[in-house]
Amino acid sequence: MAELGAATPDPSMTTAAWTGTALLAVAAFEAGDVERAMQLRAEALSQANAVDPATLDLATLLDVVTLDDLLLDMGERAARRLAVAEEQMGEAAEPLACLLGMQAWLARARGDWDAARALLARGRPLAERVGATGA
Amino acid sequence: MAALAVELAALSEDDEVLRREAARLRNLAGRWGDRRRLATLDRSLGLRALVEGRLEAAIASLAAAADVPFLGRGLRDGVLTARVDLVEALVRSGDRDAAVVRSCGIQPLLSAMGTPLALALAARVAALVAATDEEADRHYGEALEAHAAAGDPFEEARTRLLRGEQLRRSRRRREARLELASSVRLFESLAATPWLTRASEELRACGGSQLAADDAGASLVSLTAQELAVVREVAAGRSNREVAGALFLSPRTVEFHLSNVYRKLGVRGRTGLVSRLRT
Repeated sequence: MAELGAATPDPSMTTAAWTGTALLAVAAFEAGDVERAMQLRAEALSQANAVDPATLDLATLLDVVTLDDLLLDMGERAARRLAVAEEQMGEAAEPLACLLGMQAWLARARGDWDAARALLARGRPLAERVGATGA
Repeated sequence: MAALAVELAALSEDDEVLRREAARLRNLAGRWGDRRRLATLDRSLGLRALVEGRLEAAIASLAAAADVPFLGRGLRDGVLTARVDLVEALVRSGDRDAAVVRSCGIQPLLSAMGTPLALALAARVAALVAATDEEADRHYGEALEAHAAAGDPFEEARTRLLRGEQLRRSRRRREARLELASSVRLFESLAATPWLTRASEELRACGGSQLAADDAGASLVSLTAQELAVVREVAAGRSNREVAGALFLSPRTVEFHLSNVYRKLGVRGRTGLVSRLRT
């Protein structure tokens, strides 16, 4: 639930329509209601996958990839959203550090530990520079 | 990122790097009272103790992570994964009763998750606490099938290591060598040094003496994961067409892999391969 609190965006900034569903999925999982969590997760991911990331503005896209990360979506479409976000954001340090962290976890999960280490080596100094030590 | 750095250090780096990364994460997570990341820290340290055979320390660390009263974020965090690892640590320490109790708690959660990795881990846990070899065989088979879709070579290598150990205990040394060689190959590809050491020791104990060049076990280590999968099927007596069906390959691809295997092992044809695997 702490994660949920930290991740809940200002309602005026909420841009992905499935934000509520995704955060409920995370909360249900944390609380041990895995079946419900997986149903909600599938709903949220289905909505996310119906959107072409190239048509989203950067702020929305960053919301979406943050939700993907919370839902541990390791599918090809989530990887594409992440790649499009990185491409669009340029060198803005804080969001880039977060994206590199997400990519590092994905690399670790698919067994590409060298890539995970390289992404950490690139992302950690950025995170420290902007004080994003929780990244 | 600090949590991932600790995890990777625990799986592959030396003690000094692990100590440094662990201190950093403890400091960060402790400052914020972040129990989710502290659980990942405990799990990582527990896993390192487990592979090094320090079972008391492994059980203490893994239990600390496993007993956090929430599930965290699935198999990325330390809570759920520590519950899986704790079953292995308890079985290794000889406390099967406690392992059975723990496995009963974790299996419904993993099954409900339903992802290939969760199903693979559920089957591995079931195999670890199985009452008979036949039951363990069945569960390890399910686990390896799920691993094929899961795409996490580290967890697959761990399952193969456990399976190899079980086969060795059952005196099925040829099959054991195949699993252990697969495990060595996967750990090697990840540079997961402590695990590679452990799996190599098991392979040697199983007749892969000192990984000498002329040793059957050592030669198996030179095979790719796909080639080993083909060898396993052939060793089970399957025809090329059956192997192709089982591995979702074309018969021509199976022939291609087999010709590479013959060359690498220095054997002539299927009969030579099977005979070599018996040594």
